[in-house]
Amino acid sequence: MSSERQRQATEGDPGFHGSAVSIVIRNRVGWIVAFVSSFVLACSVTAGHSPTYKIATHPVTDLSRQAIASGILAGEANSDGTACLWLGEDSSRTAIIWPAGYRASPSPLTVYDDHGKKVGAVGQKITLVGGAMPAPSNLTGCMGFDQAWFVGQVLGSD
Amino acid sequence: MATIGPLPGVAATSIRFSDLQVGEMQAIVNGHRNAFAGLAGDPVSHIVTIYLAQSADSQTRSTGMQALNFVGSAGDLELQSSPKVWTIDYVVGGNSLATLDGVLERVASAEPWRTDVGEDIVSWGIDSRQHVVRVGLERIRPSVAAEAQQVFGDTVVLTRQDRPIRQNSRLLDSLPYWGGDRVALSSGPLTQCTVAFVVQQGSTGSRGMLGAGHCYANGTNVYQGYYDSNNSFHNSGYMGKVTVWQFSNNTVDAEFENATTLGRTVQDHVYVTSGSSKVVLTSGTSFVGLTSVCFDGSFTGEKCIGTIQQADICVYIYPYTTCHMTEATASSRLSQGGDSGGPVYKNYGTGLAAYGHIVANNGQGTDGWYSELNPTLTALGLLLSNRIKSPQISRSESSTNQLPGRSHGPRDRPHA
Repeated sequence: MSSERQRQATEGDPGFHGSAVSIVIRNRVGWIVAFVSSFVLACSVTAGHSPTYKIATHPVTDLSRQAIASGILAGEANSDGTACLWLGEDSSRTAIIWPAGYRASPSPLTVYDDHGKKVGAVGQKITLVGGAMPAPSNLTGCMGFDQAWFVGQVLGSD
Repeated sequence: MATIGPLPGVAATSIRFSDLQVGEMQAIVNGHRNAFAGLAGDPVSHIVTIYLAQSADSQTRSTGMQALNFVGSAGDLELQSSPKVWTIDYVVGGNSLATLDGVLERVASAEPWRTDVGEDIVSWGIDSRQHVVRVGLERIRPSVAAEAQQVFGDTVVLTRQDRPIRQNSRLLDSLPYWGGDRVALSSGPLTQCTVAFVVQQGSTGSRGMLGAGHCYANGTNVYQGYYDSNNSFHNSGYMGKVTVWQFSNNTVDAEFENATTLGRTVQDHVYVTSGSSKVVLTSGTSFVGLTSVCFDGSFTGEKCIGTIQQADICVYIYPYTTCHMTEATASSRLSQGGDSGGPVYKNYGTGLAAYGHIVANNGQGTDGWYSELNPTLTALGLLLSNRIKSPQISRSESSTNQLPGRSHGPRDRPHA
């Protein structure tokens, strides 16, 4: 899964734009691909950009159920390029299913919305609107959860 | 008012009676409403005055008096009770209790009086000393006073009365719980929702609250309470345990939070603001074009601006297609996060008609969706608790479907 993780590392943050530029150049001038890619990657690292993790999401609709939940955001990254975020502890842990386009970055594990805006980091209090449901069996990045919380809207985090 | 004077041939007795025995007399007076005009004690002199109705004929009056003779007789179960501090006096005069019963019913329902007095009414009941129906109003407008005189004559006295300030609220309530309360969990995701109406499980008779199925999983014990801005949890104890639940594809989104199973109690009122409430009189069925529909989640509060666009349909709202859903739109926000499960109703007389519970809305809160009440109750095997059908209600309430109490304030329950 290291290749998947590497692919994720080039998507969805400023590093993504650099990679797109490198692809265009490679199509036109094949021999400079390695050089430009290395240069762009070096810029990303220098600027502090980090890989993104795929997290559990759901299709966005205009309507959202209106329960509200708050708690300390917890989570962990997996070796396959995914991450799981949840609220609660021990047997009450509830996996979070985010709106489509949301993703996470490491150190600390932080969630960003579809516009790249930070919505919360592990260890912070977060407040979510949506609802509870039995956890789907194929939840991206999360295993062993009985309950899931689907997010319609993030109200805020500390 | 009729003339009051000593009862000829009935002298005040020097025999003394206990509190319990005077209570027996009160029950006898209550049971002979054509004979008596009331009973009242003076806590200083310890004289109980029993009023015999001016209008009662000698036979009716005699029957009532004979019934009173039971108290203090050998058959009196409270004969040995003590201390015996009360002496009895008899006075003739005043309107009979039966006459005042009729006035009470008219106070609750006579039109246009009842509409004109509107929400100003705070309490009403029989004044056992003055033998009138005393109506407490937050304000006494001259037009209402004139109308009362015209309709009821001297049988009704209007008194200015402040509406009692409640110590409880929908955020932190006390038993018995009302609809519209905030509910929450103490661990895991700190989920907050609202409950709608008091319902009863048909198969067991257990009472509890109707809520949204996406709030709490089956088997969850749910608190009545809330989280403040510091995330501190304030609660008044368990509201109930989720014992009936539906939330999956092509079902309703609803649950029954069973109060009885946790030894908790509920009452068929609904909070409309932090302090005041309305009684649930009946239920209604939504139809396209229905206006002034109220959404009343515990975060947003009462918003009676909804107009129905679609009624009783199935709609996809992640993660499921949910059925028996009705859509209301408004020019401003109807609901927001935390309102799920909250009551949807229409104002009906001095109470409300229940229509459903809040499930979802759009980002602006102007497109609100709720679970249609009657099919939801059928799906979960529940019955709405309301005053029209309630077996506990008094005769005057059931005959008028109007007001929650006869001589009490708006909230007819004790509080801790």
